[in-house]
Amino acid sequence: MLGGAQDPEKLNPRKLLKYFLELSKDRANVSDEVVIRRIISSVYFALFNYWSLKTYLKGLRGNGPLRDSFRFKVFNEDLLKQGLDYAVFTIYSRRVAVDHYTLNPTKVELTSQPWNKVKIEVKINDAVLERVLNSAFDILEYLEKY
Amino acid sequence: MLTTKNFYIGIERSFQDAKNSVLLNNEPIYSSRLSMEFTTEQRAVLTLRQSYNALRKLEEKDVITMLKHFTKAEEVIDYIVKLGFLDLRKLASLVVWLTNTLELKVTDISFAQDLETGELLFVEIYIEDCGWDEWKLLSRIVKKQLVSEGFDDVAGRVALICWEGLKTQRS
Repeated sequence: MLGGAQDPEKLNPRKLLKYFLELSKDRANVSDEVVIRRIISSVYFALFNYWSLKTYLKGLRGNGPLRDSFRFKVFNEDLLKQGLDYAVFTIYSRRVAVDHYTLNPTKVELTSQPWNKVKIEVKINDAVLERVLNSAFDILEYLEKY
Repeated sequence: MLTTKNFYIGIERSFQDAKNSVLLNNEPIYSSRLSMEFTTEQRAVLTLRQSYNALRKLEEKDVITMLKHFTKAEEVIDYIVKLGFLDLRKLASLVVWLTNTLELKVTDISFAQDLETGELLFVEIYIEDCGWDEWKLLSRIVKKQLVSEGFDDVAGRVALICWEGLKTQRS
């Protein structure tokens, strides 16, 4: 048996988020773009991992040999139903920017279809990091009760 | 830009207006070129469900035409239709409700895809004149209403996006 003995709290990212919050208070860290990019990327996946394990332990199944791989779509849907649109979109759009785009500021398209016209201008800076962390704590508050 | 307090008061008033059947005027709430008109009674108590029931009387092509009115790239609606991602009438009823009951300005409808897999993640509805604090409030209020009226599927597949709320300062 694969999930029953697992403690979902072992993937609770609260300590990590607090650590990032402390890091972000140091001007030297938030002036380093690599640090900001890696924090934003890991925030999204830390929340996703926590949600995935909790979802698995609820008895739901995803893909993969152990059926423990869930889709982003299902994760986003769950959060959007809670009215966390601002948090989901903020973290997701920034995650795409830091992982898929190299210029700063840049223009992000959240679609692979070339005819879609929506382009979001994203700056990767301390203010964006603050928004991402605030959003992450709001999502986490929901996930801890999930 | 609206302040959070005024925004909240505006939304509360809109709900109250609907609840109390207060009419602002006797005009149809929607442009006739969209092939859709509500009676004054319907405007008075326009809930999401009522909006949806009115839209169910329209042919799909009329609903598609209406939705295209709100998007900058008409192909977006065609793509959502092609994938069958959402009940179009439910999506349209949300747009009607946002614009008429909450009196918000919808500036675009688009969608987000997973860039690694191409999977459609959610439909985006862009709203004008709405900052970060208003965005947080609006998201929660609208999604709560959607779920309470049985539109859970729309609640999970649509993201409301406040364009102003995306902006950040500092550098």
